[in-house]
Amino acid sequence: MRRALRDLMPSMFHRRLLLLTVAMLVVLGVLGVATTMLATGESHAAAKAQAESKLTRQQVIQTKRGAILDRNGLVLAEDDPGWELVVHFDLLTGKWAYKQAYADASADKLVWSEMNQAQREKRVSELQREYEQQTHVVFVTLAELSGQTLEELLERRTSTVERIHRVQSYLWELWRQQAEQERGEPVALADVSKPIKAQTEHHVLIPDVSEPLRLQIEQFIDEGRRALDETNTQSRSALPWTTVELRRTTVRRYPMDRMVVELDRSTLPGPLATEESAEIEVKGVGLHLIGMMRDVWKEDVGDKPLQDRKGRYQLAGYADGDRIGRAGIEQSMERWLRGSRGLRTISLTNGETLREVEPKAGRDVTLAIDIRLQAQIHALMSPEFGLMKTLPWHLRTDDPQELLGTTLNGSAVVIDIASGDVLAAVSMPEAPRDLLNEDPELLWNDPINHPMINRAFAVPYQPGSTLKPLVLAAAVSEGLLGENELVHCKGYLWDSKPEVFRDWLWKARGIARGDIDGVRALEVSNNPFFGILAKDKLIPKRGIDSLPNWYRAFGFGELPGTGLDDETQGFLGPPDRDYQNNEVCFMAIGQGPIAISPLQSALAYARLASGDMNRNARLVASPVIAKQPNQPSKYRMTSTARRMVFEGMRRSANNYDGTTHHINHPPSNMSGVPIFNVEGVTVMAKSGTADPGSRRWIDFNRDGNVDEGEIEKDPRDHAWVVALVKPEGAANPTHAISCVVEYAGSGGRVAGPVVNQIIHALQRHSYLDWPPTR
Amino acid sequence: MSEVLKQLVLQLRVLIRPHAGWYALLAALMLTWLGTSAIDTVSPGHADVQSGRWLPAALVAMLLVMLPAPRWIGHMAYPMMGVAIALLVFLILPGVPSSIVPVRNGSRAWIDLKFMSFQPSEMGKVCFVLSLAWYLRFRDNHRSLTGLLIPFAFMFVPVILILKEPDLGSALLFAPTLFVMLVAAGAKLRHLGALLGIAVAVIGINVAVVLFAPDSMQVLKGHQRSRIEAMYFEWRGDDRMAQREGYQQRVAKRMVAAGGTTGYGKDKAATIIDYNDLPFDYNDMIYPVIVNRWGVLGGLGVMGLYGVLVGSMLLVAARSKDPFARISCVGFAGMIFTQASINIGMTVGLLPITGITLPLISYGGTSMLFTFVMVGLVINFAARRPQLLARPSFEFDNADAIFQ
Repeated sequence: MRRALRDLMPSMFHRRLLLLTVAMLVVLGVLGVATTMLATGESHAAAKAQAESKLTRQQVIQTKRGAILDRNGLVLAEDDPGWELVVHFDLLTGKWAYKQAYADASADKLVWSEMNQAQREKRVSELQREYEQQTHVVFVTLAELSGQTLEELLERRTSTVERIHRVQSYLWELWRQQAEQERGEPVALADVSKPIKAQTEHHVLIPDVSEPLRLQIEQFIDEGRRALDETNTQSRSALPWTTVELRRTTVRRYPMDRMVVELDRSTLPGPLATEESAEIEVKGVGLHLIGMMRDVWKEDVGDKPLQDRKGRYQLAGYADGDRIGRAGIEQSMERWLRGSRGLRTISLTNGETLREVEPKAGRDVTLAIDIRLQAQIHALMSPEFGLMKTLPWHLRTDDPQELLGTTLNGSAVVIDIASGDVLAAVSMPEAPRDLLNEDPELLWNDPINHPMINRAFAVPYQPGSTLKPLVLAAAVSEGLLGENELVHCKGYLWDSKPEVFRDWLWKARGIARGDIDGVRALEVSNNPFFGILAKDKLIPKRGIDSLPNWYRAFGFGELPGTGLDDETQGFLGPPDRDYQNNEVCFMAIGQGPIAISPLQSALAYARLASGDMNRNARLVASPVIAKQPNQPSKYRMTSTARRMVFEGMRRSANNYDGTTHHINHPPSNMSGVPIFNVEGVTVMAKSGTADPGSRRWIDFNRDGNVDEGEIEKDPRDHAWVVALVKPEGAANPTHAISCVVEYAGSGGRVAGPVVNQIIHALQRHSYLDWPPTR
Repeated sequence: MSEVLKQLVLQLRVLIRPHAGWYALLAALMLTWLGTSAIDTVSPGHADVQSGRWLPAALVAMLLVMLPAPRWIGHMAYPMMGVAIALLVFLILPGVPSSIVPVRNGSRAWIDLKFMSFQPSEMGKVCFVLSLAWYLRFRDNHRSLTGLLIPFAFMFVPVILILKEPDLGSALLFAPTLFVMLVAAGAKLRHLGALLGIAVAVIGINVAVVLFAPDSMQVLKGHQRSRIEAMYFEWRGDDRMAQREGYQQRVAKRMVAAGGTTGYGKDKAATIIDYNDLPFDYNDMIYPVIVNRWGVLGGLGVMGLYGVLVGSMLLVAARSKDPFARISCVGFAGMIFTQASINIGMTVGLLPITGITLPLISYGGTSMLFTFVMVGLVINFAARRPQLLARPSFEFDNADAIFQ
């Protein structure tokens, strides 16, 4: 090889030239291969797409969120289109003037390249001053047109810039920490400090632009656009307007949120009754059901971003500044309501629209509730009306008198038995929407009243004696108790512990009722009777789980399936729980390991009244989302059982001996004042008084710890009343009502008058007409 | 007078003989045409100046250097190198007003002559090749290790002055050119190999220290370290420096890659490059403009023309019997080739970014002027017949080695 080469090229110089030539060819080959590899295949395709994407701008087209309607088609929530004026972040910070000046100064590359640094800076500085002046004129003009002072406008500008800078600082630090975690080495802030998205976007300067103002501003913006194509100095003074945009915006409005309701006070008990009607303004009507909107959080955007890391759009996704449903239907039906944005691809070179994906509007949701009935019940449960305050007959003899007049919290649910429709579900205290917008923390962080909690759906309470009709129905349906079968009541259940499970009459006067039947037991709410049903009949003959399973069949211990995220399944324990005998006996009178929400209570009575154990509560009428049970319930109620329960509850509400019949409070001139006084309606009711426990903790400072002064000992009981009502002439109950008033006292005398007024409201809204008119 | 005219005609008749130098000129003119067209894509103003002012001036300069006899040029090599060094010193003298030596992109590399900005380092490149060739032409001491000291001293003087401007890009060209000239002049490859090995090791250690021991003592300046880091991160797909030090290379690569096989054509390429904001698109980053406009074919065409330009210079060297002409031609070829390779290498992501133009293609008056001076000198050397009484050219032949 060596010799051959030497023979071929005797000259060393020529051989060296050959060596250099080969080396140079190798280098050229490497460069050629590198160029070819870059400019072909996937690398070419990706770079081409990226390079050409810079020639277009993608403009997101806003969508319209679906409306929420009540059962009568009244709009409860809707997007109201309007305009807002947005300005690019660079104009807010003044950076636009610098960028524009720099672009102008360096436009002629030849001149620019021959300038030294000082000349360049001087030229940019001169031009920048002009553009800053023009920017100032824009702000002055906008202030004049919008009727604000320049100071107000500039303050808004400053606060926006400061807010974004704060976000930037936060994000940079976050990115730095994430980079440190990923790389496992210290990372400088400079390594992660790139402009955040908000610094490349437009921001709201004037949020609510009227139509005349919009037309005026549009003329300025048009002048700015024309100035882009012109070169004379005069017209270029309009250039800052190219950073100003009028953007279609939508404000979520809740037209039925605030109403004035007229209430008849003549049907109120005792001293509350007057001939004058009351006009009450209610705020936040249905808010707990409808929900509200909030700004998206980082997690929302992270889970479903409008634009992913590669810049691809998911049009149903979220971007910073978007609004998303919070609580109620706005939250739980977010996907249905939201819709998806459109996307327009615009050529930057000629302004033409290259592609357009139409936005898809969100779909409407129709609720089963009647917003006017809801408002009426909201009003009658307002403290102003008088029933939801501590009244003299609410207090026990040992309760302090200072409690008089204090506001009570609670909730009520009305269900149409035939359909399962939730006609109204009110949770008090109310949450005024304007206050929620102004100072949300005040409502969300109220440690005593928790006004943002939907008590009707989300809070479980021990149900107390309101469960006795269900126990009677279960025992009769199981064939363990005959219609006229008598059970002997000694006044207590267990001989060994006569002070534990007692009849109230035995406890008060030492009187035993002796032999009583199921209807009578319901009428007088006899505890030992229902204890005996559990202890001697259900448990030995049908098993320890029989009563819990009947409760489960009534809907306890599982989500009602209304579609609202807020609803609770209450507490019943899992199906395989090892119940103890005494536990089940207590469960028969609504104590022990059981807790239900007012919604579950009303649903259970709707199932009882209809005889259909598969009936569901329906809050959303359209679209259909009601939960269907996997398997139809195997539990069947006999007609005898239902007849006995109806009669027992009717007597409880209508016979003087009934525990839900009257209020006796001589100091208030109330002796045997009937709780229910609705004419033309048959009321079947059962009261319940639930022990809330011996200690009530109020976390005043919201630190999660039990601090001094945060424990209230022996709070008053939760007061329940459930009712089935029917217009006279109807064969079966048409509506189920459940009401609970927290820490208020005895069920009948506290919650009874509230339920009475709810029945009046149903009648006023023609729900109790016979034959039906609705 | 008529005698002078007669001599001139005689000279011209000698010059226009067919030889490989004309291929170099043809390639140079085609590269200039390509360059002007590419510059016209992104900055028509620069293209007009390049073709209307610098090209004619460069051709005149080329014609002028074609006339003197090579021997006379050799005698002038040291004085001209002295002038070049004096001008390089002038650039870094404290107190020289910025109206005469302006600061551009942080560098004092130009003298403002009002009608043009003169870049002494470009003159220095030509003078370095000529003076080194003049030095090496009849010697053999560079075949020993110690004998390499003086050639290296030839390099270090201009390099240190140019680094003080600072202009790393121009300074980088001297070492490879020296290496190429020494190879041609017969220096022992094992010596050069050892030196090259040391250089590679030093570079490798520096890069390793920058990347893997950033807290250790650093030789390189901050912005140089950042460019190495940027290239490394880009190679790893880590975009942490994509918007800062890595930006220029990232966009350059994108423009090359987007060009595809045949490119976008003038108008579309102009729009694409404008909206992608490629920095220094009319000088340092002109190669991505070429590939973006004409595709890989354009890029390979440029490389082919450089191959022709450099190859014909080497061919002139091969046919020449004059050792000064031989080494000068190899030096010019090495200088142009190194500059083109580094420029293309950095735009396709093989080398870190540094300020270096693509010869004859990038915008630049002084650069074009002295590149055509190199071409003119090569034509000059190619046209001259060997002198009858001259010393024979060097041959350091060993019986047992191919290249030694």
